[in-house]
Amino acid sequence: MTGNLILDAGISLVGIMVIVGVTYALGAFRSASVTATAAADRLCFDEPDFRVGEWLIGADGKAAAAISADGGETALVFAVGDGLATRRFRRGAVGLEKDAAAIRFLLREPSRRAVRLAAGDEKAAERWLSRLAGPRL
Amino acid sequence: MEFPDVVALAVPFFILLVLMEIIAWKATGRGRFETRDAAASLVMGLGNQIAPLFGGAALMSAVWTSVYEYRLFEIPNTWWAVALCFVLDDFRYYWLHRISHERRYFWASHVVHHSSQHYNLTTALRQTWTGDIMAGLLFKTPLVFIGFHPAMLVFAFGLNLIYQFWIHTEFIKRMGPFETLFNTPSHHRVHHATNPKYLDANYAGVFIVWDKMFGTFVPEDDAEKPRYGIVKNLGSFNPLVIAFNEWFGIIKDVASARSLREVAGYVLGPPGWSPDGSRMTSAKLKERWALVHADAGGAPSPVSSPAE
Repeated sequence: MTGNLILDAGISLVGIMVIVGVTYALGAFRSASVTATAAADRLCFDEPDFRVGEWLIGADGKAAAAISADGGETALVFAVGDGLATRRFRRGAVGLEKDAAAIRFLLREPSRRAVRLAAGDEKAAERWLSRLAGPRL
Repeated sequence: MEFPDVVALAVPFFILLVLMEIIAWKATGRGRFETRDAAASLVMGLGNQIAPLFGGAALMSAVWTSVYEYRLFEIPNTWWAVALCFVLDDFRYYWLHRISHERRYFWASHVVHHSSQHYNLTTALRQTWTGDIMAGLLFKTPLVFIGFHPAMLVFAFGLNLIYQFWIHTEFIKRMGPFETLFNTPSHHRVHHATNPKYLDANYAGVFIVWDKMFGTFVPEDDAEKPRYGIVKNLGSFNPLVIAFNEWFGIIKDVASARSLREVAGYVLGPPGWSPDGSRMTSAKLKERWALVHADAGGAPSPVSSPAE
């Protein structure tokens, strides 16, 4: 019984390593690029009633943020592997901090993930932070 | 009658078929693979096989042994009994699967299987670590009480799981008359899609007739390509986050509840339920989609894209 379990687990482990190795070798280790078009498409799908006032597109193509037309909400679109994920917050409901030339969104989720929105330079990061954190546009 | 461990026997074939699909993806450009996503799915599959060893298998065995003592009927271990068991188990699967989408307590386990934004054979193996204990025991035990031997049931569960493996692919488009009776890749793509028109549909395991009988069947629309994942996609490939994210969400919400009604709503309400209605359930997502698309100017657009 124990022998079978070890054998089964061993076959599965070898299989996982082979599959992961093959996907890597065939170029499947990819990250999505968060362009203006890709971010808008994802946001339109995930939050179709979110009316965008302004987009902040990350300089490194890994995240983008949108401030709603009425200034009351923020949406964040970020890369997860080759896919994109979206989060929508009321302004002030997400932790924000400046990290050199970027803004970090501190997601209150079990993953404790912080999403980095690259602004390009420190001055731009400061401007973006005040826009994202401010009460209204 | 001896019942082999069909899932263990199938594992080498799973591996081979996944490799074939990856090579076909590379050769044809059809389908979609990502290394970290595939790795996460496979680790979840391995965990699903190991998880019962942490007490779940022993508990299930004890419960089933006791319940079998009080079985309603003497069902012999014959081929017709296996066939009947397979069909009844698929009926059982339909209802467990349906409630797993409609009630958050059950969704907390099942969400794991939907947490990939990809739809390929590795997605089939992205399985819960908590489902058997938190929900499976409740839904499977009645079959033991009817009189099916636990070994026969485990065999039927295995066959059902193996059937569902091959339908997780974008390589097979439509299957003609076969789709009338059986669950197929096309039907199951709809089930994994987050497009509002596809939400909460096609719960079948093997026989799609259950969905047709109970009003949950939605055919794949060639004009609307499925977009896979969950309505709030995870931001992580960490298997622990994948396995327990929704459970942590429930605990957090229950801790913030101000009444027993709120506790019940957070645990037994539909996924996305909240006391003030500020979160999105499937029904509200569908309503919102309909409203936004009734209003031509409703969709968001990249008003400005200042890459400063």
